[in-house]
Amino acid sequence: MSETATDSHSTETLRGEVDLAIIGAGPAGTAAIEMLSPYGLSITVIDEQPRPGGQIYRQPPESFTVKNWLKGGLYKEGLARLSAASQAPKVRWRLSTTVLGLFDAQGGAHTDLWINGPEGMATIRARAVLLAPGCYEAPTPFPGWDLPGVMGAGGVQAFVKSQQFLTGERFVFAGAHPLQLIVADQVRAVGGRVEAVVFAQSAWRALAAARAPLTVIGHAPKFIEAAKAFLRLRAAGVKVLFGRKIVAAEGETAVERAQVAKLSPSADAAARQWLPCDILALCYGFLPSSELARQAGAEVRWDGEGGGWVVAHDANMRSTVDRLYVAGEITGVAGADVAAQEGRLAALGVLRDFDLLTPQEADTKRRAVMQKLNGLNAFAKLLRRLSAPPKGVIDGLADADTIICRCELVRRGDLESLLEDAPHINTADGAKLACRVGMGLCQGRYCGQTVTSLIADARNLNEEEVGGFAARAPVKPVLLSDIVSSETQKTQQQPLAQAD
Amino acid sequence: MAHRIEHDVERGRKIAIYVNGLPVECFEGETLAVALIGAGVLQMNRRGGVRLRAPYCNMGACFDCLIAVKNEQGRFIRRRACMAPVQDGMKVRTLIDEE
Repeated sequence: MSETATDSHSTETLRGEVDLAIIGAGPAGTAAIEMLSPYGLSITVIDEQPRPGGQIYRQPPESFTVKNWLKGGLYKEGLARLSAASQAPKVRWRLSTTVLGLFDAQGGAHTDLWINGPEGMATIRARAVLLAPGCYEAPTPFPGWDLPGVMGAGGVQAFVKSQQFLTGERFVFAGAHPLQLIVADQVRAVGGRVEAVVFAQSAWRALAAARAPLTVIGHAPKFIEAAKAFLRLRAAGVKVLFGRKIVAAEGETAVERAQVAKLSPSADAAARQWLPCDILALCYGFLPSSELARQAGAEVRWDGEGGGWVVAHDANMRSTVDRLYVAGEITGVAGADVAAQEGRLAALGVLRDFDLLTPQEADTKRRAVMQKLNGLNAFAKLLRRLSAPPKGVIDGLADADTIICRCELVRRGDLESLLEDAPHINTADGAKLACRVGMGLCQGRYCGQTVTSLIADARNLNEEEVGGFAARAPVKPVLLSDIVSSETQKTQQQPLAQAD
Repeated sequence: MAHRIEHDVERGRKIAIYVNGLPVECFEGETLAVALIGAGVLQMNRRGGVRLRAPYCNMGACFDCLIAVKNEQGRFIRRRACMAPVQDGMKVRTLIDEE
């Protein structure tokens, strides 16, 4: 386990008690730490990655030296924040560690976090929890999308950023989010051959940013970076296609080609074209990682533009569960800058509820953050509008034979026949019990939205009525051997705090 | 072919792991996913005994990169290749022929 220099085990009591547990060391989590650091709270930060930063600032391993890492204006502010947070006192970094569940403890006075990390399983007891787990790439089932070599564009980028590794030789990018321009350009810059970048929306929609008010463009370094990437790709002779989608991937033991088609239904099937590739990177947007919030019982609502199930919160970022604050993508996917400001709002909420700030002091500080946030949100709203695939594109990608549940190999046709044969099934959980969809290792992360929207369509219900899969602890699969060895440790060593 | 980016990058110590019994050179700090893909092993397991699987999300969410790693007790246990760091002498098995 790699830890920062300031790591101090004394911040947690021997029984694993701490003032605040922060789940997620990305933009929201690190911004919260920075804001909280003058107030003396003991903080434990938990993240699955070995180093803080989240996906956007996913650091190379400590044993690597990378010159000019994430050079450029886009990352500057975030890297400064990351460095400030890494040096904050009274923070224990529990990295390479997964949070498996959140539970009420001591009659509702504390929250217990069930965690699994390099030191085995443990329970941490916190007076408050800030949940900032970020998001993951929106899955888009189509024929062949589960072939080896088909990846999320963010996954490809993380290999480049962190491990300094290029996963293949010939890349095709397909989706609707401008991030794919940036990743394609990064891949090209380190020697990858980019066959094409395929956007579902038409070119004029992608250019609509030019018509946005200047105040919004002022918050748009990301647009500028995407535009620069676009120009560099074009200059290098890379095809950037609009109004098209990848309709199939084929290959023997891995993807070898991807089929590109025009969007319009009237388009000639003969006009479809195969692009050779060994990596097909998908970039249709992001889904909030709301499973821990849902497992803890926090209210979520459906926000199609925000990525699906987003966690409800008040002005101080309190969720509907006592002592559980939320920040970042799980309140609606809006990018790193918005996430950081929300992290600061949540920190102010914690300070106010811990009586470390008076409500007046907290409100004054909150208004200053809100001013920044409003501008950023206007940009995020524009970005969402521009990066949303045209209506019907995602639904139209999968045919009856397409696997929608990668883990249990349930096909779209399996679910649709089930819905025909069993008219009483009108929830995602109902479908799960009946056909195993969502029952596998990823615990429904990669099929949940598809299942919910297919049921909503078939039953003429909205997503809220259909619901998602219920999230239960452990929210990620755990090895039985991990549980057994931690039980052995418990009897031999210091007893760990137990849930009531 | 997949490859390591050399420009401006200094890696950790060169070590070796064993993938399906064969030695694979890699560097301290790398994930098993990088060590395997770098050695030409993209396919990590076969879901349901039918569909080959390789890293998809590279962030610990999809579990498509599940492989088996020998632990200190000598038992092979399942790990996400995208999350597990390599260790010198580590023995790793892909899960292509079993499920």
